[in-house]
Amino acid sequence: MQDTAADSSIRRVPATPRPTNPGRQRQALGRSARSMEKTAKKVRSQDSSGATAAVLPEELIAWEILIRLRGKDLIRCGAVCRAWHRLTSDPDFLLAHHQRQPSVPLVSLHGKTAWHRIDSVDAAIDAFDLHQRPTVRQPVLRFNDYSHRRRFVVHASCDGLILLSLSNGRFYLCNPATRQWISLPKLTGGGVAGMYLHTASGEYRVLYWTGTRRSVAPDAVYHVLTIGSSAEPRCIQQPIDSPSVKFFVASGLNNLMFLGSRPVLLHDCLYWVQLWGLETKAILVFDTVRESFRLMRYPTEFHQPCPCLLQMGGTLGISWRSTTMMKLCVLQDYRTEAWSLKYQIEFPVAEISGMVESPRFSGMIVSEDGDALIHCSSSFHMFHIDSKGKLLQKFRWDGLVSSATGFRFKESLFRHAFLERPRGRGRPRQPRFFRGL
Amino acid sequence: MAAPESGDGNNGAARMVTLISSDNTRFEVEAAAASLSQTLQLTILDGGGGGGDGIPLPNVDSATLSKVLEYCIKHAPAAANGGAPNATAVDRAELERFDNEFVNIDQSVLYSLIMAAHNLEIEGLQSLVAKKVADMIKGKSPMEIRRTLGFPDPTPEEQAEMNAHMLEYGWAYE
Repeated sequence: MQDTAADSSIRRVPATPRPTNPGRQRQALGRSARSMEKTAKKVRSQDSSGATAAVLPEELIAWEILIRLRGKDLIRCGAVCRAWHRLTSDPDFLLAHHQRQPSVPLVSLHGKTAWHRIDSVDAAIDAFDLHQRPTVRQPVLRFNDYSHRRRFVVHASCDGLILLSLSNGRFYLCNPATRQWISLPKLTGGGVAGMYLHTASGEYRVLYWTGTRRSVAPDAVYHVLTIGSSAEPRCIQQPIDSPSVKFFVASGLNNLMFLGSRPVLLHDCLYWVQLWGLETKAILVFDTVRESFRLMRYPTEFHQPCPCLLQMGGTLGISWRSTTMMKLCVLQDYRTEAWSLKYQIEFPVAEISGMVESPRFSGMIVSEDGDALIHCSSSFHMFHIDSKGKLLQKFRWDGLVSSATGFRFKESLFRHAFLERPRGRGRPRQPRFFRGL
Repeated sequence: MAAPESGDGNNGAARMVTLISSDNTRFEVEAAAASLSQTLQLTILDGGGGGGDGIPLPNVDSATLSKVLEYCIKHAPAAANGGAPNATAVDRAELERFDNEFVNIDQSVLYSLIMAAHNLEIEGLQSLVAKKVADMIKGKSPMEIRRTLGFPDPTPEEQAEMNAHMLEYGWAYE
């Protein structure tokens, strides 16, 4: 290994009058020369109004610089000049921008009592950017949920869209980055299983069920709602691949077996893990293309209480937790359904015990790096630990109960037609989900 | 100043290449450092740039090229380790400190650097400078951004469009 001190390694050689430029070098450099020509042309072709920097080509500004900005910063750039306005309205650019955003875990915060409020609201959802040091907590939604008996529930987070129901039983779809939201009245009274992008049609769809309440012999009927479609939701009955699945889906997915289980969307399938009951556990799969349910083997060899599904680098992961540790295994092979242990994390119990009284931990692995958020039911704390169990950050909210939702969020400024409201008279009223943001 | 062409590494392994800026200044640099540029890497792998020949870079002036090479030389060892999985925290901190200081320069130099990094395809340098320029935009109003980037003052029509945008997206300006 050469020791290359910065200054000594560049040696300026006086220019010599012999211009040596062998053909093969010219060939290799042709690429760079061509791209120079291209960019130079771009500068000249700029409209006189904006003159997006006489210095930098528009393409470079857009795809190297502006694409790095987050939410509000990028929206404000839309006012800088016409060229930037076009860019920040360009669906291709906004999709590419979305692709670059970090996928960050969502945490819900509930006011335990009416006078404990965050920025004058009693319900909130925050995103935790765990890659930043210190961990950055970004407000995502702020609203009033009023009821003290029921709480709002996050049902899905998909491509920057969040589907949630409030304590009044109504369902809403929000894009926090564009501050757009709609209500989904057709879902009222139903149980939402999950939301997904139907890749073939480009439609966002919600899978939900009806007809199990107070029924002696529950027989849920499933429906598919296409977001933004005026058509009635499509009834798909109880689509199962084999009779053994019926037991799991007959009473809907909020029955005791799946209560609190959050779906993971991966490779056009929704997955749920069975949380409670039965010795033989199962992973339930809904194939969004074929629109039917099937079962997948649960890795019994790793079993512990409280399984939780999550997406780990393009495959499925399951984490379990006890009062002192968590572990996570990942699906190695879809065909053989083989799983392998990836992380085993001891909670920094002693360290945390010094900070909170009578700690009883529960937690969730929330990032692909194995970072976890843990909280103590007895206090209003949340702790961010890494995959080695090292305590990285402590959060405290007086009077607010926090919990990881199990969903991740990837900001998107893409403006979906189904979220656009007709431009009415006067200013649109302040949406209810963004109070104090 | 001029050192022997053979290089001065103790096992004589450091291959040197010569780069020629647009204003005809010659820079001799280790091939490993120059290879941070995808474009130059192709030429070097092809055997170019050694001996008395040089690789002409007609679009990069000597001031910019010297700055570009300063970056490449500093980052070459880490790049050679394949993203340096075994680099120590100290090494990484040192590179970070270097990067922070490196982009603490005039805007015009930043622009020349990002153009050069773009054309020479030096990914790390390009994103380092782009991030710096993006940071200069963060948290600013459209007017402040225009001033920061040296845009001319807006025409009355542009000003009207700007105001309309600010009215429509009022919440993004809070």
